[in-house]
Amino acid sequence: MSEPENRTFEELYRELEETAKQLERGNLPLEEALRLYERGTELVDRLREILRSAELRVQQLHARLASDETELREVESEYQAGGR
Amino acid sequence: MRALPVSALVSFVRDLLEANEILSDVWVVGEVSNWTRSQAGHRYFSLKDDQARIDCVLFRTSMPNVTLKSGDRVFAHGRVTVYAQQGRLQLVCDFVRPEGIGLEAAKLEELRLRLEREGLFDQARKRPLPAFPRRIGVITSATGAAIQDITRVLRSRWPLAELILAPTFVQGDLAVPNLLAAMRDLARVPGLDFAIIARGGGAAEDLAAFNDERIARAIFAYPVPVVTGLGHERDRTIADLVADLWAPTPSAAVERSTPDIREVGRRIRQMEGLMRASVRHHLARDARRVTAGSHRLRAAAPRIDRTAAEVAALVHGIREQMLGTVARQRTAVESLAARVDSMNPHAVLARGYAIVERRSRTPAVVRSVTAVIPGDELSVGVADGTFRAEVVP
Repeated sequence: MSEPENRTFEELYRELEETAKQLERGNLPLEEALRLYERGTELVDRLREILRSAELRVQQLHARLASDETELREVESEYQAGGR
Repeated sequence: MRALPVSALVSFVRDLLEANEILSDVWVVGEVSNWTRSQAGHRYFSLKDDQARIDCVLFRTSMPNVTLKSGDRVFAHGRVTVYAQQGRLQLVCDFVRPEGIGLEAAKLEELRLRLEREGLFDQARKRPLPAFPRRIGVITSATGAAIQDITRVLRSRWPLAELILAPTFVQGDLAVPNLLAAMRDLARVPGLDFAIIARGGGAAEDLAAFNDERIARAIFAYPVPVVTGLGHERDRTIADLVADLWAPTPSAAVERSTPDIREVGRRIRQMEGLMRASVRHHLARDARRVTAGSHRLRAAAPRIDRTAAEVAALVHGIREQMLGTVARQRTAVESLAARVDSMNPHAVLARGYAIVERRSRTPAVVRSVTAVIPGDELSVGVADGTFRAEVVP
């Protein structure tokens, strides 16, 4: 089975959990058990690859360290209007 | 101007007082006198100083456990109104505390109580964090120790995530509006899993911004869960109480809100082992089935031999029976053939008879002298062939 690249770590991990759980439940036809095992192994490889190649990305939003009190007051009231 | 009824005058004055912003949210300091508790559980008393006094009430539902005595000096928070039946000025209190704790502490406690009553700290409304976060917002100073700690811990713990820093002041007069702006900007980032509000443990603990009601409400209303790591060991701030998850330091905030990549790797290895064991179990089970099947077959073999002999005997019997039937039928067919043979016209011809056919006019077998006239062409069939003839005149 080919793996779409855009699946998240979590999606793959959940599928692995589900696959392992199904296998553990036992009493499957041998063919089905082998198919699940093969799929699980693919998932393990894929997850390991993601973990291995992970590198923290850091981004900084445009600084808004305003010294102008008036602008900040506006921000404040706008924020609260947008709140609950 | 016409005369007002008393009730109209009193309620006019009451409306004036109640409409006043200062009087509807006011702190008073004074000495308690005439403390009494009514049957219904309301507490009535006066607050006074050397020049004035005001009647106060603390209703049953406000701080139900508080008891004061005459001579106590307290801070009281409440709203000013008029008790119409007696035409008396009244401070309806919702909070009282001994003056000794200080006004700042009293105010903080009043805010805490009020927000708690409103449900901002409810455990039930705390939102769960995703198991494997992908995008984590951090609201803190761009230059402080907090962001260094957070980046370091996140890099080693869960580098799958993306960290988005929304820089802000965390101390000083601009801290509150700055924090609000940073929170708002961060909230616009799509796909944010949660936000960490952090502050490095400074020397002087200026936590005022994190005890501010505006920040508390902003955290409560935030579109994604909020984690606090404000670097202080003492009482929790209001922000900590409202946050979905609280940690004492920025590093701890990351540790409590993210999975550990080593632990996740272990878990994957575990599942791999489980799957391998399961598949082995399935294989073993099928092997056992095949073995059991062949045992059963072997056990059944004598019975099969016996059955085969019976079948062979049966087949033999059927065959004999069929052969008998065929022989009888053959005899019948042969006698029938003899009879058929005797009716064969060619056998008659062999004995010297002939078949005469008229060829002219309408061809027909000639069975009578009246069937021919002179000149008719005839065909005469004998045993070994035919010849032509003509009827003479």
